[in-house]
Amino acid sequence: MEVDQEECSSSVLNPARSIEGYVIIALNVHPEASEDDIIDFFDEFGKVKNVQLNMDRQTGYAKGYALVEYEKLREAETAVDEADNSELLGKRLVVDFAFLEGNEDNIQSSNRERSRSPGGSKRW
Amino acid sequence: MSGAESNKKHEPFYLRYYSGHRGRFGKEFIEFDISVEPGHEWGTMRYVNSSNYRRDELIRKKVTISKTVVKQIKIMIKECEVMKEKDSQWPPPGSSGGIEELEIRMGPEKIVFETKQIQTLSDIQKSSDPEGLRVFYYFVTDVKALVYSMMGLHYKIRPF
Repeated sequence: MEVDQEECSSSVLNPARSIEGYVIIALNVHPEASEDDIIDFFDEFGKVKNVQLNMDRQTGYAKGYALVEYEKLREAETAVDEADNSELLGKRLVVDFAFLEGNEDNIQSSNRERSRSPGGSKRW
Repeated sequence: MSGAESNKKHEPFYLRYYSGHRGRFGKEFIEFDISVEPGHEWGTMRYVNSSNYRRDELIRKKVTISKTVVKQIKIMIKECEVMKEKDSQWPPPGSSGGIEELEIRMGPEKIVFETKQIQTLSDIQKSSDPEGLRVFYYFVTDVKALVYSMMGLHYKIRPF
């Protein structure tokens, strides 16, 4: 079944590098999946460096998505290519890069910024 | 999940959350928004944290996110049906208690909620609309967890 392979790959922009590697996101994660399940599954494609499997705060079950970080782009690309549309615990995953190269700006600080908008009417 | 259903092609989307109060250390707030411009298939996530305690600086981040991240957020909105709530019975923000704001525009729907900062679950219990406020509270908690995890992984910061 060629389900929205095109629909789910962010082909227009390149994946963006995070501080320690490349982060991918998996959707449709089984509610009873554990962090170990995610690591075991995604270690197939490269060494998993970080995992975040957030819980639904009300039910305590997995919320349904996982963030997985690899050090190398090649590993992350392999995971996106091979894990997307594959099954984990009987559920079909959607896997994609989380961050893309766009026009990022990271302004750190400062007091200058804060004093300029004391009322908070224009916070950005 | 047939992916196609939850992401209408290039539909504009906007979500903004703000939580702030004026306290012992001055005005402190966090704010983030997630937006998809018409015609774009990717989105933007912005995050600002102004905490005067411990870290006397403003943290400001902006990053491009894939449509799959946006799709997850839309799934969370639809699952809990937070857009069906109304804030008319929620505790209004006072001068001292701080404020939380949630704004979502998705397709033809739009909501803007405003309430006093929720400190404990008993704040929800005591309100005139505990069911609605609980939906708001858990949605906000879950979407914050997603945003903080992403910011934490991307920048290696503890965003709160």
